Order: sequence, then structure tokens, then C-alpha cells
Amino acid sequence: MAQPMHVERQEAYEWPVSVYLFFGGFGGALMALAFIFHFFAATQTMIPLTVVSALVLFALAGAFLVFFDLERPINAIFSLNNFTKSGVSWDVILIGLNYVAGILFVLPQFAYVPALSGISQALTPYQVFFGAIAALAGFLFPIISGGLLAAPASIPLWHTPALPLLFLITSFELALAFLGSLFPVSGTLYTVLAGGIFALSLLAFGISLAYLEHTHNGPVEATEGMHRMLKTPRFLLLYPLIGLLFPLVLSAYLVFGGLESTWAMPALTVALFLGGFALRNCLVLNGIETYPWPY
Amino acid sequence: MSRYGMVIDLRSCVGCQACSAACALENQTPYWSDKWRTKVMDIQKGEYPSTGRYFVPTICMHCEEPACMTVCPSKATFKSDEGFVLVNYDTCLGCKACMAACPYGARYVYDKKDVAQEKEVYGEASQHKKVHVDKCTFCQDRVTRGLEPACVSTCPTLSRQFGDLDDPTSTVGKAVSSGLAKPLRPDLGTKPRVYYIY
Amino acid sequence: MSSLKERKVAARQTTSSRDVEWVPSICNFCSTVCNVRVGVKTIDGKKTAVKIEGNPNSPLNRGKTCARGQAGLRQTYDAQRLTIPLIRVSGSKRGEWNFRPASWEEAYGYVMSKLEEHQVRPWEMSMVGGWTSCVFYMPLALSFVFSTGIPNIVASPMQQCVAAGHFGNDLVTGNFNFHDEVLADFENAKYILLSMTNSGVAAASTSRLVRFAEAKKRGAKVVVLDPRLSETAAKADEWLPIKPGTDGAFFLALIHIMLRKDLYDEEFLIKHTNMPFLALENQGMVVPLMESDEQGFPTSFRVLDRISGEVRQLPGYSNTNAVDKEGKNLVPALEVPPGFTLDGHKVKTIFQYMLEQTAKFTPAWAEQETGLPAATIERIALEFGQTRPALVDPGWHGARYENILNTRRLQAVLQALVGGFDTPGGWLMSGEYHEKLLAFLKAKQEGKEVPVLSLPGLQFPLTAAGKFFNPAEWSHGHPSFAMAKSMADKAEGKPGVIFPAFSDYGLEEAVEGKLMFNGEPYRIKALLMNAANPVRHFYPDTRWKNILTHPNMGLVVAIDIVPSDTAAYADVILPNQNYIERDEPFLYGAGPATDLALTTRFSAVEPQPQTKGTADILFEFAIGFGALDKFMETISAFSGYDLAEIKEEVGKATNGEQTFTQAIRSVSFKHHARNLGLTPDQLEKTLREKGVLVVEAKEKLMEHAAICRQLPVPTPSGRIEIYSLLLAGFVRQEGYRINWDPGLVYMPPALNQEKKPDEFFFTYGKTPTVSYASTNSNNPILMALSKAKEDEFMGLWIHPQRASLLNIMTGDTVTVENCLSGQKVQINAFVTEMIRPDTVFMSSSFGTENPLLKYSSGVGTALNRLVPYQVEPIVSAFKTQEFTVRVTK
Repeated sequence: MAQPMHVERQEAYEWPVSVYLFFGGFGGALMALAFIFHFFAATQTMIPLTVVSALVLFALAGAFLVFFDLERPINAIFSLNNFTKSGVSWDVILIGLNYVAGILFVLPQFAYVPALSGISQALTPYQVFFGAIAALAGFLFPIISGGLLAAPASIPLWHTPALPLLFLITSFELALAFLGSLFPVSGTLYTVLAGGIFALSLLAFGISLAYLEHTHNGPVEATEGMHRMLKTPRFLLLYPLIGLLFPLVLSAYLVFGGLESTWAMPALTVALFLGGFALRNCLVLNGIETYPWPY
Repeated sequence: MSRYGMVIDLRSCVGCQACSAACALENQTPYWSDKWRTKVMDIQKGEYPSTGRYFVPTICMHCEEPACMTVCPSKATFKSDEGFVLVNYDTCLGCKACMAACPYGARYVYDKKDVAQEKEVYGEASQHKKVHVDKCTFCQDRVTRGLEPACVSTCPTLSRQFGDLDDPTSTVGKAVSSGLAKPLRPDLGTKPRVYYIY
Repeated sequence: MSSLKERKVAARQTTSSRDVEWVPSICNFCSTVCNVRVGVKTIDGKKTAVKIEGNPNSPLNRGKTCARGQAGLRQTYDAQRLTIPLIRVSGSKRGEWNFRPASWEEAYGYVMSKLEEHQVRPWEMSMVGGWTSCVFYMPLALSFVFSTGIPNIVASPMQQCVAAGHFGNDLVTGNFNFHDEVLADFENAKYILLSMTNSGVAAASTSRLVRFAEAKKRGAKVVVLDPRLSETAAKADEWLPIKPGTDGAFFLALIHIMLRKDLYDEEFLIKHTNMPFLALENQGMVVPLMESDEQGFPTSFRVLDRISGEVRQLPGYSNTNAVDKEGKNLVPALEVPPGFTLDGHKVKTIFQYMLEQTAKFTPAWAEQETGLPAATIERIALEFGQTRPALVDPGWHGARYENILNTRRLQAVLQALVGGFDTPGGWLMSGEYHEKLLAFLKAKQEGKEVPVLSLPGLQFPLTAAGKFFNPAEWSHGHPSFAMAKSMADKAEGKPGVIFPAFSDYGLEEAVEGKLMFNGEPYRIKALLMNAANPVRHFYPDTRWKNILTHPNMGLVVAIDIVPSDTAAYADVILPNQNYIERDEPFLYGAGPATDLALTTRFSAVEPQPQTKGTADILFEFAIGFGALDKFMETISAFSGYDLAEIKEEVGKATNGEQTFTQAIRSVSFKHHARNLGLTPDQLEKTLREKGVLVVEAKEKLMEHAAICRQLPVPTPSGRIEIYSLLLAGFVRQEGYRINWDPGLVYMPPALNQEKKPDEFFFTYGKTPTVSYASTNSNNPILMALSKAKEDEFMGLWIHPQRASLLNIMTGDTVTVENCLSGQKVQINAFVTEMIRPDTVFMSSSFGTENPLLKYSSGVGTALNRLVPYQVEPIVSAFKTQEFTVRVTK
């Protein structure tokens, strides 16, 4: 009878880390989208609202949760020491860029506020520049935070490029649906939005399959970790069903079925929110089991 | 420069835990919270009467490619001149990325409660005055004095051997070069300096 | 910001042992008595012990210590240390922790007034000693009782371990001393067989472990008999889960095969054992043809010379059978021809009788008894018999079953069959033992008397305990209460106990006033306990609680370091210095080390100001009893120390110039320095530097003092006695009983074999992190290590097959009921494949009760709450497993 190996379980990452990864990626995607919308469909309120929600999500994720999850928050000042290698360092840098560049990007929108008019006007010529930086930081954040998990070969469940990609795609999916709910659009724009979600959903589906392939053929920890996740009903329900298949089907219907409904975007947002969080939370909690011992 | 490493012989380990006790006293590790830099697993497998019982001492592998060092945002985890993977208590954030990255479970948090308790037990001689993620130092302080690590020095079953892996005449050098001692999970790419005979 | 390099240097964590001064000492956490050194440095203005290491100069533990040895120093700083004499608050009951602090004068005065109040006569007192007392203070304790007329010592390692186990080996080899455990030469053996000895190897005796580890690394084959997969069994190449209590049957089957297949060391049997001795059968008993002197010592044996075909006479006491009484060489025959007669009697060799006696012990028979397949037993016998050197470990701890002495004796017989005594890969006698044996033989030649404490092997207990048993040795005409009880038993036609050395046999009756001697009650009214914890070490706890709380008990004095379970039952508690703190009054041999070596303790840190050494306490009592002069004379007579020197040094102590410990210590240093040709200062300097002084290395000793090859052993005949003359003496004295059959017999354990599904055999054993049920258990580090393995260390091991039947899961609280006595305990279950389905196991390490023991109190279940008072009839060994238990949820 085959006997299971002795497991080594780390109690390092708990739920705050998954919240951080999730909101960080979500916020980053919003920031990048805000920059894109700046050129296309931006309304007066859309950009500030998007940027502010991005920054709030970052605040929740980075500044509060993870900061206070540190054993020694004051020492966060040292966290840039290893930016060439450490995902955490890059996360801190990207959060910082998001904040600084994001605020500088959004300030020109507030020219109507008397107190800010001076600075707004001074910044207007550079708005695109700062926006680009914020957008780049926002775009990179989900990738890097996925990379944070995926980088060390020592954690096989996470060690695949599929992971940062999956984090990136799902973040943008959610961000699109969120914006679609926040700023109701119609006509072609609606179809474009739904089309974007559909395309990303399809990508997410493909990458999920690639990830499954990695866990299937990877080291025993990857296989075991995925088995554990697939045996968790909460995960099964929330990610593959609600977070992956449901958006795929619904957005396909929106695009090809010609449906334009007011509830579709909020529904997608909720589904992607639940699915995205479940994915990160389960991955974080299941990755830190290894079988290093010879018995 | 010597390339220090350890060989742990599972054939003779009986799980007496002298290593854990020696380490706890030498390095003031928080035994009161059941946290140890080195411990001995007691693994039971199989069905009666072919039951197997295996004692596996665990310790930081002092990897050549330490995953914990790569992920550390503050470079608090670093390699000393001797090649030991150490933690700078001053700059550690306590973000625990290293703990998650270590596949051997070699790290733990020396938290606020532990620091307070240590002060109570050891008084002015306490070694861990700040909260940090703690780990085995290969008893660097002893090794620089020409001694073996505390766990090796006390091991009643000679299960632990310490020395220069590159020296073909040393016990550890012989065990490793002959292939008798093997690293654990070389596939994880960490290149451990602790080898096991099993 | 500082540079990276600077921060790295700043990051260096120091270790406790940096800048310490090393002080040599001896570990006191178990009776392996490893040589250690204590690292001390000044912390918060106070010299503090911070680290212990094995002493690298030690021939015993070779620089290693176990977890207990490492963690031991924390005892010094136990917050609950006894630091001042305590006297029970009047009106409070023994068992309650209700004491008031007192001065030493007050405490001594209180003891004396209580002895007077209860009119305690010398024989109405008993000392109770733990193993510390035995190993380190034997000269003082023996001298104290003989000079004060107290014929009673109860010593905790005897009925549990030394008498109840080792004595079985010793009947064959003649060994026995304070560390009479033999150091088996694992590292040179190729085949190692272990039985009932987890404590002696892996759980953990460092001196043996370092050698056992070498064997494992070298690839020696290890076979372990144990009903559960203990730490030692885990290291076996073959784990044989034998039915509890039947190890003797296994050994007999091995002997059966080895004798029949000629798998024995023939030369050894012929030359150094009594196998070739001629014997005849008389009333069903095998009786060797021998002559004896008036004292009963043999003066000649007879053998058949294989070469000349003549019957020759061998000397009564010799190491070899190769030279007869007239100095002529011969080769005794192991077997005489069929029909051989001598003076009209049918005569055979002991060897032939052994062949006959073992005829029925076939592997098939052993399979029935042990539950191990006959084929396996046969294969092990062939392997064991064909491999050299093969070794059967003599075993640690005894008790368990009435057959324990027989089983341990059979192990020694098996070892004799492969000729493995003082040979590489065999049983190695200690350096101290060789020294005593040499001195004894020299004195015997010169017709001189040897001081009691210098008597080698079995001579020591026979002489020393003999004094306790003989009413004529005492001016008041009372033997020990244990012997009085045995005599009373015999008068009633009960078997009694032949050799109740340092036993608690009859103590309860004596306290209750039910023990009669010479028509008067033999009462025990006062106990003086030193480093003893009988409430946990003896069986059952209720018996000792009754003894201690009985209204007839006038006074209980406890000398201890931490508030043990027993200390709570004292009237007066005298605080002792612990092993880190104290200078010892004597120099000691290095335990069972095979090199002849000397060692002692040096005070590493200042003792607690109000604590005292045991020597000082005993001297104060001797002065109080008006027996100081006699005490000094007896010390001199027993240990061979110079009386004038004792008087001079003790005189300084009575004047307050030094402690009594220092006085005896300096006499001891002078004595040994003289023998070594050194000055006492030189000796002290060497020991302070090295901790251990090797006087003569093992290799040298083996060249001129190996037992059998060069020296006769302290058995009556000087040979390895496969037929035991001592047991034959018991037959003559007491009549036949299978327990003391001098030949090869099997005694099945008295266990119910037709058990119900919830009824189990019971076994117990030791964990590596705690020393027995000791007061040493209150250690934060050891407790943390133990609790991390709570299920298996503190739980009741039960096989899943039976557990599922009884709906028991790991962690469930179950009730264990003794089917013999009805005693019941609660314990958590540990369901495991590591035990026989018909057996349960628990550790003997836990279950202390005194709430002052902050770390250990209430943790786990105490073994002695489940074991009834049952003793066997030779040495009153506890029968601690001779019952079945019922397990219910």
C-alpha cells in the first residue's frame, strides 16, 4: 500500500495575502483601464472615479492589510532593498508608482476645484505621461503579484508562468465588468465591453487549462495541491463555475446573442469578484505544503 | 574557503531530540511556543507487523540557491562569508515571504510574545531582542570559534556530521562525494548543503 | 545607512556558549551518569550556567549528551526550587503542601524532638534512597546506617531495575556494582539482539547510544524483541513483536538450537564455564560433583579429561578449566560417553544435562509461547550462532514479570554460548569493576580483608545486604524489616523473599504494626528520604501514600531539590544542592566505562545560600545521634580511607572551617592521589581541566585483566556459571521452586490468554525526554519536546483493529482498568500500527501530581496508579506487567 509522504506545512501566508493579491490586481487593472478610457470614452467623472477606486483598492490591499500583517511594519522602509529579485519589493514599488502617478494623472481632472486649479493646470501637459506610468504600474501589478508566488521553484503549485498570466487576465476581466456596472454604456460600446470580457474569459479558460496541465504533470506538491483545491466545494463552485464558466457563457450571450441588459454587468462583476478571490485564496492557502522528507 | 555542510544519517538517528534541546539552549529558540530551529520528525508508516518508524531530523538546508533569500524584499536574508543563510534581525520586515518560499519549513516568526518571554528567561543575555523571522544559523558563532554546531556536537547517535563538503577527506565530503548522502528534493532547485543518508 | 557588510556583521547572533568558562560535572538526569561540562558566565551580575555539553574527554559518553543532559541545567533555575528548610505547619496533613520556612537548626531540632516524641528506636527508622543516593552517596549512606544502627534502606533502583533484572545476568557473570549494567560493545558486534531495553539504548542512555550508532552505521544486524515499535525497535533490521513476557521462551529456543547445531564457542564453554563439570541427578535435581569448605565456598570440581580419559579435579575458584588442581593441563570433555559412571553413579556433564533440559524448548514450542513464527526463531538462532561477534544486550530495567530474573539470566547464558565476555563485540565489564576484581584477587592471595565498598561484583551485595539480613550484625538484634517480613512469611509457610536487598517488602505491614519479629511488633516509625520519590517510583502509589500518611508514622524527612510528589508527604524538607551547584564528597569511577577512570563534580555556580549537600546533612544527623566517631570509623572501614585523615578533615568541619562535603572530598582526593602517585592538588587540577582522568585505557586492561581469559569472576566458582551455584544454594536453603532452578527452565508469565475483546496485555516503557517518573520531569524544554509528541508519549498505544472495535480514536479519553487489582486510570488513546493488537502500551515518564511542579504536574498519566503491589520471591522485584487490563471508552 502506498503511503503518503510526510508533509511540511508552512503557516506563512494566510487570507490577508490573498486579499492583497486580489485587490491589488483589481486596482492595477482599473488604473490601466482608466488610462485607456482617457483616450476613448472618458466622461468627466469616469477617470477620477476609476482612479480613486483603484487607489482605494490598493490602499485596502497594500497600505493597510499587508502593512499591518507585517511583523515589523516600520521596517517596511527596507523593503526596496532587493527589487532586482524580490516580488515583494516590486509590489511595493508598483503600489508606490500607482499612488504617485495615479494622483498626478487624475489631478488635471479637478481643474474646477478652486484650490486645485493651479496645480491641475500645471500638470495638464504631463497628464498622459503620468497616466502612462500609472497604467504601466497598474498593468504590471497583477503580473508581479502573480510572479511573487510563481517565482520560487520551491513551491511547485505556484511555480508556472500561467499563474501571473491568470492573475492578469482575471484582474482585467473583473475591472472591465466593474467599470461596465459603474458607468452604464450602451450600443456599440456595450458590445465592445462585453466583447472584451468575452475575449478575456476565453483567455482565462485557456490559461486555466494550461495551469491544470502544469499541476497535473508538475511535482507531487502541485498535483496534490490541485487535488485538494478540487476537493474543496467552495472553490469548485466559486472559481470554475461562477468565476470562469458563467462569465464566459454570459459574455458570449451578450456578444453573440445581442442581449443588452442592465443586470448583466453587475452580475458579471459579482461573479468575477467571487471567482477571482476564491482562486487567489485557495491558491495561497494550498501552495505552502511540501513533501521534502524521504519518508 | 571551506564549503561547510551537514550530513544527517537517518540510519542511526533514534529521535532522542538532543539536537533540539541543545539548539534551544544555545540559540535561545522559543521552545515555549513549540518553535524549533531543528526538530526530529517521528514518521510512522505501514501496517502491523510491517510497520515502519522513521526519525527524520529537520533543519535549514543552507541552500546554495536559497529561495528564502531571493524573495526577501529587504535583503535581511543573506549569505554569510561562510555560505550560511542568515537573517539580519535589524532589517527583517516579517513579511514571511521567506517562510512561504522555503520548502523545508525551516523558518518561524520570533514574535513579540517570544521576545518578551526570552527576556524573562535569559535576562540581559537574551539574543533575540527584536521581532523577526528566525532560522538556523548553522551556529555561525560556534563555527567561527572552530566548533561544530550545537546539534552536531551533542548528537548521541553521531547522526549529524558537519564539515567541509569540498574536502574529500572529511566525513561529510566522503559521504557526499560517494553518493551515500543525498540532498532532499534536488528538483526544487535549491541546492541544499544539508545531505541525508537514508 | 550602514553598508551591507557592516549590517551583516551586526546581524551575527551570538550563542549561549560564547565566552563561557567550562566546569566539569556529571549529569544527574539519569543513572547513565554521563560526563558533562557546564558553561558558566556572569549574567545580570550573577554567575549563571548557560550551556551543558558532553565532556569530550569522556570514555563513557564521548562528548555527547542527550536532550535531558542538555536541558538539565534549567533545574538549577526552577522557580519552585526548594531553597530553605521547611517544617510542616502543625495541624496540616501529609500530602498537603503546607509548610513554614525554618532555619537548619530548627529543622534538625524538630527531627530530633519528633524521634524522641515517638520513641523511635534505631531499627524503627528506614532510609529511602533514589538512584542518586545509590550512585553518589553509597559510602555515606551505608556507613550512616551501620554507625547509627538503622538496619533499613529502601532504594528505588533495586526492585525496579538493579536487583530486578541485572541480578539475573549477574548470576551467570558474577557482575554487580553501583553501575552494574554492562556496557555492551555494540560498535564491534556484527549481530545485536535486544530485549526489553528501550531505556538502555534509544530512550536514551548516551553511553550506549554512541556505541549503538556506530553499529548502525557499520551495518551490524539489529534484532529487537518488543511488543511495540519503540525507538530502539525502530532502528531494528528486524522488529519481532513478541507476546509480552515470553522473551525467555525465545531465548530458550535459541539455546535449544545452538546447543544442538554446535553453534556455540566450544573452547570458551570448555575453558571458562561450568558446562564440562560432572554432575549427577539426585531427586530430580542436577548436582555438580564438588567439594566445599566450611563457609560453603567450592574447593573442587570434577571433569573428564578428553585426552587422558581420566576424571580430574579442578580448583574450586579459578578462571579456567584448562589446569587441574595439581597444575596439570587438561582439556575437559563437554560430553561423557553414554553409560559413563563414576563411583557407581550415573554421571553426565552439565552440558549434557542442559541438552536434556532444553530438549522441549523447540522453535515450534516457542512459536506457541511467543507468537513469533518458528521459522523466524530458527533463522535468528542460526544467524546469531553463526555470526561472530554476536551480542545479546544484557538489558536495562527489569521488574515486569516474575520470570524477569530467569529471562535476564537466559540472556547471559546466550552470551556465554558465543563466548562474548571482555572480548570485542561482547559484554565489556567496567574499568572500575576490573580494578576491584584485581584488588580483590590480590587481597585473597595475601589473605587480607577487602573493604566492603571495594568488593567486586556479586561479592558486594552478598556481603553488604547480608549484613542487613543478619540479626547478629546489629546490637539490637533486628535485621531489616524486609528480612523480618520474609522470616515471618516463612514461619507461616509462605515463600517470602530470599534476598530482599534494599526492598520495601513488608514496609506497609511494619508501619501498620502488623509485622512481628521475635514475638514483638517490628514497627517503622520514621523515614529519612534522600533524592527519593517513592510516591511515583514504587508500586502502587496508594501503598506509599498509606505508608506516609499512616498515623503510626511519626516522622518523614525528605532531602530534595524540587518539590516532588513525595516531598508533599514529608514533615520536614531539607533543601539539597543540585548537581550543577555542588562539589561531590567523593571521586567516582566513570560509570560503566570500560576504561579505568576517575571523575567527580565541581561546583559550577554558587549554590542557593540555604541549601546543603547530602554529606553535610548526614553528618549533622550522625552528630545528632551521637554517632560521629562511629560514622567516621565506618566510612574508613567500608571505603578504605585513612581514619586519621577523616578525623582531621571532619574536625575542621565541626569547627566550621569547611563543610563536611569538603572534608570528605579532600580525604577522597588524598586517598586516590596516593594510589595514583600524585599530589591531591595535581589530581584536582587534572580533573578540573579534563573532568575525567583515564588511569588505564580499556585496551591495556584487556591485556592483563580480561575476565575469563585472565581473571576469575565473582561467582562462587570463578567461572561463568551457566549452571548457577548461587541458585543451587537457594534450592538447598529454601527447597525447590522453579524461580531458583539452577538449570535452564521456562516460567510463562501469569497472564490470562483467553482475553475478551476489550482486554489487553499491558506494557510500559520510557521516553527519551524524561527520566523515569522522576522529579527531573519539571523541565520546560523537555516538557515542550514531550508535548510536541503528546499522542505517543503520553497516550495509551492501542492497535487500530481493536480500537475500531471499541470505537476508540486517537485523543479519546479512555479508562484502563487493571483486571487483577481493579485499579483504574484515565488516559488519552493513541491509535497506532506500532503495537501488537493484543497489547496496550503507556509511558512511565509522566503523571506527576504536585501542583508546584509547574511544567509537569497533571501532564499525562502515572504508571504506578495502575500497577498493584506484587513481588517475586528472590529479590522482591515488582511484577509491573503481570496482569491484563480492560480498556473502555
